[in-house]
Amino acid sequence: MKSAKKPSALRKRRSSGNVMIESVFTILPTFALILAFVDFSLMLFRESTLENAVREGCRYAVTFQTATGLGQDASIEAVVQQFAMNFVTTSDSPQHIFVNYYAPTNLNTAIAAPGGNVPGNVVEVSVQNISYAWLAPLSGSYGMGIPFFRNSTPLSIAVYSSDILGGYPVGVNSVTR
Amino acid sequence: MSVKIVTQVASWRRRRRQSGQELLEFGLMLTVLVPLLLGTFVTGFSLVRGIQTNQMDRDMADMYIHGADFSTYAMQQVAQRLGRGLNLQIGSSFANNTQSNTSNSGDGLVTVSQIMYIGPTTGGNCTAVGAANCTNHDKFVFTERILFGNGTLASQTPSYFGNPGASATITSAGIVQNYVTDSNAALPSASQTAMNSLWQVSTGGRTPLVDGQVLYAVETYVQALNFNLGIYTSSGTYARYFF
Repeated sequence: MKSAKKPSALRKRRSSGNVMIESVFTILPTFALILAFVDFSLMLFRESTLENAVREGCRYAVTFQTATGLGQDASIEAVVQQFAMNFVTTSDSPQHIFVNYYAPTNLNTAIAAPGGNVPGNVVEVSVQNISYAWLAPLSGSYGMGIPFFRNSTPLSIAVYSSDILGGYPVGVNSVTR
Repeated sequence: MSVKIVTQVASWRRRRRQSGQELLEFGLMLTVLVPLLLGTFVTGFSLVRGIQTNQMDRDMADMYIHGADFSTYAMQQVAQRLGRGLNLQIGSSFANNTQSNTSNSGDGLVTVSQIMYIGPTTGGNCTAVGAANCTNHDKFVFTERILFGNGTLASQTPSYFGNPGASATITSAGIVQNYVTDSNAALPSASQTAMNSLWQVSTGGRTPLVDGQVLYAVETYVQALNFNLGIYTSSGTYARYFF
């Protein structure tokens, strides 16, 4: 029995510190992976939430509804905020929620307020310039040019939804932006 | 002393017996973990693109039914903005209308179709041209077809509706001419079958389409990223909306 303990002690002494080094080698990639999973999930959740929010805003826009005391743009932005789970708000500075109107004959130049929100025009509701800083402790050089994958610049999310404005509700001839 | 030698030998033996065992175990674990990780990434990317494709397609279909003309460059730019990040390319600008703007690279192809059901020979469409000339009676026909994006992707996921015959007369705005009398305007037989089983049913309180009823459809296909990880290759995402 006594003799059997000796090599064990010897081995322990020889192996001393190994566990720590191995842990360090293991923890870094393990945490990078775990955080990458969290990162991708959060990014996906944020993007799909915002996609849905702009879509809801756009559906609201085409009906020409407005919230009490608000113009049409502000009402649409309020709807986007309502569905955005606080990822964007109407009071963000700089602004993140955008509402633009285009004439069918010129879909590249947004019509400046107060015009544009008339039946037949295209409304575009978007959330832009949402920066997403990754959590994972990986170097930016791991981007490899793959979209959404980590690179040296933070991911910027932009989502759009468009539709053609429907007719005014009964008894309404115009809606203030 | 002699005991020590014995135990040292035993230790050496054990080490030799176990030599490479960790590597083997690690290798075995990797065969499970690496595919799992790669699969997670590929599936994740597909999911993101799937949501985007779906959203973009639905918006386009909604605009289409409200009168949007996707044969114009401006409207195709709107589609491009909706699909930001999907690499839908529409080439350089053009004036007026183009029915097929598919000589582009990129990852997306959009197919816009307006389809009409032509009823029996006694229906309004057939009687207007004369029952004897009503080649497409009891069939679905294309009344409009517009394509834009990367045309080579059509081979990866062909349109659910098929395509108008090669000899069909289609204007630059995508309007299919003589859709009642020209057999080239009819959907291919496989698509006829699919559309009949989808629309011409009376079960569940549904009413089959009647002569002259029109449906609007937009299909979007976005090919997988050039990002194949081992055995995991995403098959691309496809969305189709009827209105």
